[in-house]
Amino acid sequence: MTDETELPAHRDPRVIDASTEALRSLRELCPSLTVAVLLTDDGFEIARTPANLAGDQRLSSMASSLQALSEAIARELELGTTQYALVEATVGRVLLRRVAGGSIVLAAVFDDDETVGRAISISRRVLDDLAVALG
Amino acid sequence: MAEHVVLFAGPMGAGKTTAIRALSQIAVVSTEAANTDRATADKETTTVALDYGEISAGPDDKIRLYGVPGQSRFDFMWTILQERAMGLMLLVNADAPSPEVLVGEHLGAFVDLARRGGLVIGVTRSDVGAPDVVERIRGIAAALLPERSTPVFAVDARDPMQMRTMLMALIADVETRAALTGAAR
Repeated sequence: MTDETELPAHRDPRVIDASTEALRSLRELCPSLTVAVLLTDDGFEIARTPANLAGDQRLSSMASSLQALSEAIARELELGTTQYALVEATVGRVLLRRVAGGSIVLAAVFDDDETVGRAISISRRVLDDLAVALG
Repeated sequence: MAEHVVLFAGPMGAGKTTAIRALSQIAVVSTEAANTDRATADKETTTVALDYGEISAGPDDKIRLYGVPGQSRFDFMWTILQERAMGLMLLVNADAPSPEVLVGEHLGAFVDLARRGGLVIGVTRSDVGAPDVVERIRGIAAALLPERSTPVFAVDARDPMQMRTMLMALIADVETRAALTGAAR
């Protein structure tokens, strides 16, 4: 039997609070972070930093599509579980990473001051902490 | 080898993924995510990027089947994929609140493709929709695209034969329009 009162992640205050805290940590650890969003698998925004950029859902939708495509490619080629997807552009990069074992995805945009390795390692640490917080 | 791209569009829950699975000769590439929008469509998963299948149409022809997400928040995928398409299979479920409105919205979003390429509309779940739903959809298609005749079928997206018939109608529509365009030159 399913729990009829269970809220989707983007409407669940407990998930929103934990996600907001995770993004605050990410921002503290990565000053070059331009914008970051935690989103549901199907593209609904849960939390965002900076919060004053709220309202543009496009990043969440595009991140959801790109995450799904990157996982589909790995699946098609039998490469195992996707760890992250990275878009490297001239003046910045976009990192997509799923919270381990969950249906929440991080889309983080860094300017070109951040090294790739640092963005990858810090985002993993923050999302591991979020996974623990969400139980 | 000639490659032809056919797009499957329509609202969430219309049966686009099911239709591509019914038609494809290869294992379908899907990008399904857990659906948190159960108010719009009560199903476990939803397509967030695309579905992809293929049909071989003889030694020199391949038909690529692309399904796009139903929700308008993914409309960037509609734009990306319709540029390459030769035709549109527009599916709508008859038990949606206002299926003819949904058809109108999608014809608006895909109007460039509908004007230059083939177009067929499939009405799914017509057994549980209003009895006149196919006629209403035929009417809205004629009103929005008066310059062309648009085939409208009641179909079961799970049935490969029915979907093949719909696809053949689309190909006939593409060829008819190409012939008309050629004759007009």
